[in-house]
Amino acid sequence: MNRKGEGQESSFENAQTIIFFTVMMFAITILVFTFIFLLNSYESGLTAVPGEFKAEVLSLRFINSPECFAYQDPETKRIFPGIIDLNKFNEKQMQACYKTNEQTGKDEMNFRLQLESTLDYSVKTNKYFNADKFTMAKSVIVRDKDQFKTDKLFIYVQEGLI
Amino acid sequence: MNKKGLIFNGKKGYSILLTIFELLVVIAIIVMVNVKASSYAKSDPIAQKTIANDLALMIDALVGFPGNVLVEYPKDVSKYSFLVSSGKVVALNTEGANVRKESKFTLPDNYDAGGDVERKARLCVRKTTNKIFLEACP
Repeated sequence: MNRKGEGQESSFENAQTIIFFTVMMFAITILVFTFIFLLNSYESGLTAVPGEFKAEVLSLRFINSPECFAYQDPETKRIFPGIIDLNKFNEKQMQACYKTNEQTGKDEMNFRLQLESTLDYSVKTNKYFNADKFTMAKSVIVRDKDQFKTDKLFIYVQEGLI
Repeated sequence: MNKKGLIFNGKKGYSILLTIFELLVVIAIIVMVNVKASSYAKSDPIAQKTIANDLALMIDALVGFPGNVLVEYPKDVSKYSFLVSSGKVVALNTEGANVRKESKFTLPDNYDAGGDVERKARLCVRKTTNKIFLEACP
């Protein structure tokens, strides 16, 4: 009788141990994955570049580069940084200046540019979906048919959507 | 009473066994956290990622500068090798774990970027008209 009772108790405790180990293994696996995830997000947080800074760096090209909207004298080929050529201020030029990947472009930074003097017109990059995160403003000079006038360029910035 | 079976037989034995297992798990976790924390304290992968980010930003910034430019990266980068191709900078640490970190940049249509540098202390980025090149500093 006693022996039978001991045997039953032992089987019960064995089953309890198996359950305990199964639960613990499951918990440890979750713990390890959580730890790896936390470390990765910690690393991403430490190395992340602030959106405003990246946008500032990227937007330099819009007003300084002749591949974008900067005016370049056709005869001397001299480039005038800070002077926007209104003839170039269009979607086609924008595509040549800054184009994000067709598949992954929405995860990257996209822009919409607008001049204060022509608020009804703007040029956009290929994956811009009007989801602005912030706006920057730059004082510029606009060249329109041999006329130079001061203006303000608004740069609407859309950061990665995913 | 059999003294030999005291630890592993009976309820008390199981409870001691489980306590030992729990302690081992806790110790393993503490060791794991410490090992990882010390590797992060050395911050090698983080420094590597930061350098890759810096170089990608330098390339993005150079697009915004008309004319020719030569910029030196203000840090000793002799631990790493670098490769620039198809819109990204790749920083490789070929010592030990062979860690690879990369960062993207965006160029205008008629621009071209390239270059590779293997374990040089001084790293430069050169822009000539529409070409941006990563090279060891002269």
